[in-house]
Amino acid sequence: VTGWDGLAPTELPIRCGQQDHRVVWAGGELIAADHPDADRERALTALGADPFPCLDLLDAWNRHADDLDVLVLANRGAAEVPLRLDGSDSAWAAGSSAAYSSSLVVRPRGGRRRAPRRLMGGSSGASVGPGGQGGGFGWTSYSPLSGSGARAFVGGPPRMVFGPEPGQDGEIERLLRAGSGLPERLVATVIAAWVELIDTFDVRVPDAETELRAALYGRLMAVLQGWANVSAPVDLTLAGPGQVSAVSRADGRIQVALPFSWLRDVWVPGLATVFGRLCLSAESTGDDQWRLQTVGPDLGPARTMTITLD
Amino acid sequence: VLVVHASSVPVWEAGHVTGYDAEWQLCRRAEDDLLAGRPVMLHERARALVAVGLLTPERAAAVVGRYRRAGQLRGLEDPREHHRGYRPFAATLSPPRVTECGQTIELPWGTVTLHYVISTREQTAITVRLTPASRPRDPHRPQAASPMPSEPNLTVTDDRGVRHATEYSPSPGDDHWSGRYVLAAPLPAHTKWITVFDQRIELAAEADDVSVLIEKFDPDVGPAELAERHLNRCLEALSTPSYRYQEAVPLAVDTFVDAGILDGNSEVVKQVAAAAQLLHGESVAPGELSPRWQSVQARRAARDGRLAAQAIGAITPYFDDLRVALLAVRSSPSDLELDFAAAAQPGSESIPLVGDSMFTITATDDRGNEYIGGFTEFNNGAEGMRGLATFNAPVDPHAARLDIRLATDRAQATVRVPLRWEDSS
Repeated sequence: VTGWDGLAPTELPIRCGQQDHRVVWAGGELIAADHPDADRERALTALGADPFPCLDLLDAWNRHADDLDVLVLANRGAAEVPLRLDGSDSAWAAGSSAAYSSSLVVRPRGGRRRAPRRLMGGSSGASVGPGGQGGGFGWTSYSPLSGSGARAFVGGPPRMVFGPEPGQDGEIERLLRAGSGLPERLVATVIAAWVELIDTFDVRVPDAETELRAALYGRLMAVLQGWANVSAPVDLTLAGPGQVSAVSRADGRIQVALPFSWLRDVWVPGLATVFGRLCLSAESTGDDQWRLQTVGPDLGPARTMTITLD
Repeated sequence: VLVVHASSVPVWEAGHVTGYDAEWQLCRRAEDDLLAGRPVMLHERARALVAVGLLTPERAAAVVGRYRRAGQLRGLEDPREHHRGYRPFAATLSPPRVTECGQTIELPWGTVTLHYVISTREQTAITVRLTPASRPRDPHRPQAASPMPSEPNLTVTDDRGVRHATEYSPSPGDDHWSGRYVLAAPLPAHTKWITVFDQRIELAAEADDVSVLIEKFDPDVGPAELAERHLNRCLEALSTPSYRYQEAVPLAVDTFVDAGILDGNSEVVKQVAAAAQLLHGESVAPGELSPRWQSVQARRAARDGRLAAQAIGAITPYFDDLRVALLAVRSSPSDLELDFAAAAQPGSESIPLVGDSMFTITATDDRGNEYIGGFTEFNNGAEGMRGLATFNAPVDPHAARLDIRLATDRAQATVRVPLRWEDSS
């Protein structure tokens, strides 16, 4: 299983200036659908024009598209305490202090429309990359998608960004409060980015190993608790590329070896447990068919399960 | 001031102990806490791991910071996370001039006892005790004395005839109306005398005859000793009223046990637990305490302290990037107060959240009694820390010398103060 299987396209309605806009996510790409000339609009904002919330969201997304803090802050699954949402009527609750919050006003799907508001003057930094050049940070290629819309390429060889710029504190929190399933897709984006970094033996991976392991551990534990009410301590080994996924019980402890890519291939598509069995790996065999390696609650030998879409 | 540097051992550095991945264990605990819906309480664990060199302050702070944000997003903040050890902020700390006054002035509403004048480049303050005149109980009889104003005015005139307004700052919880009059502007360094209530006070030129011993703790002593040292700091910090963090010691102990540094059933761990009980006001069988804490317990109920004050006016060199000025001590029947100022070296690195090792003040007298100081009043700001440490018991009235220890996990300064006080009323 690769790419964005299991994540349906979604769109987030945004009140952008005086208009209702949409930010659309599909197949790993986030698009400000109503901004065909995003670079020009960014330039206008840099010159003092009002910021465009759609582009602010897009830029914030890009800034954190490989930010491991996203995996620390985001929910690990339904078993975890839900995130606290500020605001009363929206799944998106803009914060009150950072630049990003100054301009993002999002109308929830079917919800009451809110008037745009400016909490702080300008959106310095949120829609402008380092050096003040609009769109000059992270994935800088904003090009038309099917003829219109600014886009952020999330698939393919990424040009990575490394954490928030100074003054961007709280931006991840606001992204994670966005509605319409965008937080889940941001998490999937970060996971995909790091799977690629691991696969290409990127020099940043060794330093991030603990964070990667923790991201995997937290999500695995959420799955295990929901699956078989696991109370035994779990020892997780981060399996390297090519190593076999395994789970076993020994001395009252559960030993698990999984690669980080388990999150992309199994957890993100919602295949972590299938028919009461824990999925250790999943691969697409083409023709709408997936082959899963699974174990039962007794943690016995792995058995193959095949899912076919007719 | 005699300064002795006792050790040339390089300052402690974080290392890595094989077999225990401290950063991972910290993350794992945080993940478990989040999943269980518990407050994420990493501070004490992280500080403990830093103290024994299993984690660098930078890595520890990064983990704590990340999971603090995760906790906040879920309403699972550590409710006590702000109760961290107190490390003074960076500032330039100039040597103080401290002058003992020992004068008592009769006023219509009572008496003012001038203890000492503390003068630095940044501030001049006069430490006093105000005693209202006793008033007859019979309401029908004329009052013999005026009522004491809530904040009696005090004006200081310096040797150039310049008058200085003051602001009274009372010491909290003191039944003798003790406090400080802080001058609106510090006195010039060359001021030789001042006049207060028509009393001339000659300002001291030099510090008293004290010696300072600087010790950098050996970082290569092994994790068990480092752990024990850190636990001592945790225990000492419990004497600060605003640091009543019951979980601090158990969390640190649990971290050391989890890392395989301490045995949970060891004598050390039992004695630490007993000392924590003692500091929380519980009664503990003396046999459960180490000799040091037995001494603390023995003096705890004493009420035999002298009523006296003594200027010190000493400043330490930098130790662990800290510098501390000991200004004066005040003794009462029930406790001992130390007036101090402290600051981190300007430009010294300060890692937020966990990297700052705790700064504690303790003392030993020449009769072998141990005293634990708690910060009962302090202000930590742009000019460093200024405060009062109140020791848990009065100083033995027969003691002739007090060794005041200013310690972090990495180094300590011991200031030896000869006690030459006489009772004052």
